[in-house]
Amino acid sequence: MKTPPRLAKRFLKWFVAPHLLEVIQGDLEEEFFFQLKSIGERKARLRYWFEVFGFFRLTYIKRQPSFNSYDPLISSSMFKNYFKVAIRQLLKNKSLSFINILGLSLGMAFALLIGMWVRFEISFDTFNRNADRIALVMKHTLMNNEKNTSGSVMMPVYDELERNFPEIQHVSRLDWGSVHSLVAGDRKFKKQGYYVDPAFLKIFTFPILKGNPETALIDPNSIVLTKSLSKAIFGNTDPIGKLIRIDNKFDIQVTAVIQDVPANSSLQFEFLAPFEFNVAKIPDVRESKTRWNNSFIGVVLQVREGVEFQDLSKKISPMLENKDPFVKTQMLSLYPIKRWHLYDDFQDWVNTGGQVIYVRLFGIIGAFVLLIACINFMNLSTARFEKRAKEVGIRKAVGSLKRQLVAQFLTESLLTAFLAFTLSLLIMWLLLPHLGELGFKNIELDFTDLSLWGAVLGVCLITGLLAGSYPAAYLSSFVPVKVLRGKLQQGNAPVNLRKVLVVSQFFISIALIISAVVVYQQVNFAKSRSIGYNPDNLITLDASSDLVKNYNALKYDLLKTGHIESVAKASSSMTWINNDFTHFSWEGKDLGSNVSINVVMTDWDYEKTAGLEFIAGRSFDRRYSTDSAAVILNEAALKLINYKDPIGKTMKLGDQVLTIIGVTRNVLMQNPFGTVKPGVILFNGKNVNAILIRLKDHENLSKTLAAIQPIADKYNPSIPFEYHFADQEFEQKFSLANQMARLAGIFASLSIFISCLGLFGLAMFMAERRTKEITIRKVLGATVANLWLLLSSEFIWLVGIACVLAAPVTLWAMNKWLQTYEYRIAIQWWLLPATFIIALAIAFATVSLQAIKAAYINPSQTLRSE
Amino acid sequence: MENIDRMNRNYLGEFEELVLLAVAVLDGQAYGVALLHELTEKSGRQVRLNQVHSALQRLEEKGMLRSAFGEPTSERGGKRKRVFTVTALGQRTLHEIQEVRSSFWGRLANFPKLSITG
Repeated sequence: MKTPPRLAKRFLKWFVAPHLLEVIQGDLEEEFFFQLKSIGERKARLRYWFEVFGFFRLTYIKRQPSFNSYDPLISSSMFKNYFKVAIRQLLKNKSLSFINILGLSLGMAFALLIGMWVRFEISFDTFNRNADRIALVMKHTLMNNEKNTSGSVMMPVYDELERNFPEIQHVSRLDWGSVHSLVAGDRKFKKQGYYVDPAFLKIFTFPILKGNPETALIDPNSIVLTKSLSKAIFGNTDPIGKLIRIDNKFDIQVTAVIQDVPANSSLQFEFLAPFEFNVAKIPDVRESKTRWNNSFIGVVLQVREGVEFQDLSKKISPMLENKDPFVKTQMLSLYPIKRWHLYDDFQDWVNTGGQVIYVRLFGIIGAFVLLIACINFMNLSTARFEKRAKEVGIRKAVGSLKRQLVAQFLTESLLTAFLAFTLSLLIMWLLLPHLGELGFKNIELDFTDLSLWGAVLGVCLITGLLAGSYPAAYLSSFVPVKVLRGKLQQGNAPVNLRKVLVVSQFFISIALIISAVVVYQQVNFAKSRSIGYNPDNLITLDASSDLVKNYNALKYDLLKTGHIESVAKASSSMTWINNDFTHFSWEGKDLGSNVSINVVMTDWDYEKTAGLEFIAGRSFDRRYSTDSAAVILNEAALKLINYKDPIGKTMKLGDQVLTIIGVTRNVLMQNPFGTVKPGVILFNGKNVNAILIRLKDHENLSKTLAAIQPIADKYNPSIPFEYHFADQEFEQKFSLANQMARLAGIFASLSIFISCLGLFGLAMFMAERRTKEITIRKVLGATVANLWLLLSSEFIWLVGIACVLAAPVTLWAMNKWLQTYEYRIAIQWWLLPATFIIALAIAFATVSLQAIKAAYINPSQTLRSE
Repeated sequence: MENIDRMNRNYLGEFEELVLLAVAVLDGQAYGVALLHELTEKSGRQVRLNQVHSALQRLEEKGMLRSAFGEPTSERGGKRKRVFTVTALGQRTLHEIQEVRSSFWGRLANFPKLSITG
C-alpha cells in the first residue's frame, strides 16, 4: 500500500503542537490519498512534503499553554519569593555564608590576577605587526668547555647579512642600549636609548606620531624620541627639527616622535639614534667594523614572507668559521621574537625555556586554587542544603512543583556566587596596587575590558550552577513522605568524594608550604654568602666622559670633603663584569682549551674602596712603577692557573707579560646563585665605566651625599647627579628570587586557607549527618572530649595521608629546582615534620570548631525532633 | 454591541470570508480537506492546507465558527477530523457583508454596462 513519505510524517509529528497534530495529520493523509488517485504517487508525495512545510509556522509549532496558564518559574512573585528565601538563608548562617563567599571570591580574585599576569606575559612583543618574521641573530660559542649562547655578535655580521642574503627583508644593528645624557636648553636628562639602523623602524612597528619613519634615522645626526621623553624635554611644543646635545659632545636633531614603548616590549628604550652616529663619532666602533673578534652589537632582522627561520638559520650558521683564531667553535642562529621573553634560556646552544616555566607553574597553581575554591563552595553549599531536606518535604507537600524547587536552589547558589563575584572584584581592586613588587607592576584592573568581566562572570555562573545543581537535582526528587518521616538514607559516595577532595587540597597546600620555605631558605642562603667585598657604605657613579676626564680632580675634591674614605675608578661596578678575555696564557695551560677569564681594570685604591680581602700578596701600589704590568688573581683564577706559590710568578695576556702580585678572596660580582668564575684585576686606568666611592662609616648619609653632589655636578655638568648603593644593587639581583619566595608564601597561605574552608565544610557536613549518633553516644555517657576526638580523628587521618603523599613529590620537585643553582642549600630534615605538624594543627583547629560544637549539643533538642 | 460586531466584521479578510462562506455552504460537512477541495474548485486558485487551517483557527477565535471532533475514518489513517459549523455571530457577519455589498451593487444598477475590463 502506498503511504505518505515517512520522513515527512515524522518531521510533522516533531514540530506540530500535540493538540493540533491529530487533525492536521488526518487532513494531510486524506489529501494524500485523494491526490494519489488524481496526480500519481510521485507528485502526491511531493505535494505531501509541500503541505507539511506549509505547517511549519509558529501558530502550529507553539505548544498549548498548560492548564494554569501562567508559568510558575518566570512569574515575578515566585521569583521574588526565591530571592527572599535565598537572602534569609544567607542571613540565617551569617558566619558560614561569609566564609563560603569569602573563600570563593578569594579563589576567583587570585586566579584572575594570575590570569591577567599570564596574559600580560604571553602578550610580549606581539604588538609588532611583523612579529612572525622578526628574529635576533644569536652566537653560539664553545668556551671553557661550556656551550654558551649570546645575543652579541661582531659588526661585520651585519654587513654580511645585509649584502649576501636575499631572504632578509630588513636588517638592523642594535647596540645593547646604554644610558646617555641628553641636554636641551637648561633641561638635563639621563635616558636609556638604542643606536639602530633606519630599518629598525620598519622591523618594529612602533607607531610614529610625528616625522617620517622612512628618513628619520638616515642622517647620522638625528634622534627619534618617545612621546613622553619629547614631552619632558620640549613640553608641548613641536620637537621636530629641534637640537639636543647628547653625551655633552654632539648636537643632533629630532626627526621623529614615536609612541611610548609599551610595557610588554622586550626592547625598552626612550630614544633611538642612528647606529652610523656611533660609527662616525666613536673610534672604537669604527675600528670594529671589520673586526671578527669583538662581539658587542645585536643584529635584528625581518625575513621575507614565506622564509622559514630554520632554513635561514642553517644558511647563516657557518659564517663565523675560521674568523677568530682564538675561538675555534662559533656559529650563528636565529632567535624568533616570539620566544624572546618567555623562552630566554639557552642551554648547550638550545633555546630551552626560561620565564615560561613560571608562567606555566603559576597558571597551573592559579587554576588549582580556583578549582579548589569552586569545589569548596559547592561542598559548603550542598552541605547546607542537606539540612533542608525537611523544608523540601514540606514545600512539596504544600504543592510546590519540582521545577520550583530547582529554581529555588539555583537562585540561592547563583545569588551566593554573585556576591562572591562582587567581592572578588573588590579584593582585586584593593590588592593590585600592593602587588607591584611581585611582578604585577604593569597590570591594571581595566573595568572596560570585557574579557575580564566575561571570565569572572563565567566562573561565577558555572560555579553557581554546579553548586546549585546537586541539591536542585537531588533534593527536589525526594519523596515527601519519606523525608517528613525522618528517614533520609544516603549513600557514601558523596562522603568519599569529599574525602578525596580534602586530601588533594591538603596535598597542594603542604607542597606549597614546603616549596615556600625552601625558596625562602635558598634566597637567604645566597644573600648571606661571603661575597668577597664590603657592599655597605659603598656608592657607585656611572662614569661619563666628563667624569673620567676630570677624575683626578674629582678624587681630590671628594677626599677633601672629609666624608669619603677612598675613591677608585674601574671598568665595572661591584655588581657586574664588563670584560671577559680569552687570550690569557700561563705555564702549563692546556693550549687546546678555550678559557675565558673575567677582567676588572682599575688603578690605585680599588682594594681599599671595594674592601677586598687578600689571602696573599698586595694590591697595586704607587711606589712600584712596575705595577703597570702587574696582575691580581682571585681564588678561582689561582685554582685554574694552579701555581704553587703564585706571588712573583708571571702569566701572559697576549704577548704582554704580567707579574702576579696578589691573590684575593673570590669576589661575587655576577649571579649570586652561581660559583665565582676565574677573574683577575689588571692595572689599566683607561677603561672606566664606574667610579666607586667608599663613605666613612657612621657618617650622616644625607650630609655626605649633599657634600658629594656639588662636586659631581661641577665635573659632570651635562648629567644629573645619580648614584647607586652597592648593597642595593646586590639586593637587586635577588628581585626575581624574592618575588618567587613571596609568591610561594602567598600561594601557600591562600591555599591552606581555602583548604581549611573545605575541611570545615566537610566537618560540618559529617557532624550534621551524625547528629543522632552523637546524641545517643552522649546519652549513653560519652564525654565532650570523647566526641571531640571521635569527630576529629577521621580528618586528621585525611590530612596525614595528604602529608605522606605530598612529601616525596615536593622533595623531588624542590631538589630539581635547587639543581638549577650552582650555589644552593640542602633541604633540612626538620622541614618535613615541621610542615606536617603545622598542617595537622591547622586542620585540627578547623575541625575542632565543628566537633566541639556538635559534642555540646543538648541531646533533648536533637532527639525531640524525631 | 454593534460596535464590536462592526470591528469583527472589519477584521474578516477576503480569504477568511471565503472560508466562512464555504463552511456555511458545506453545512455540517466542513472540515480541512473538504474545504480545501471546495475552495480550490470554486475559486480556481491554488490553496494550501495550512492556509485553510489557520483561517479556520482565526475564525474560531473570533467566535464565528465552532468545531467538534468527527469520526475517524480509514482514509485518514484512523485520525479524527475536526468538523466546523457557523455560529450565530458568523451568520450575522455573513449577512452584514452581504448587505453592504448588495447596497453597493444596488447603487451600481444605474450603470449596468459598467465594464472594468473595457
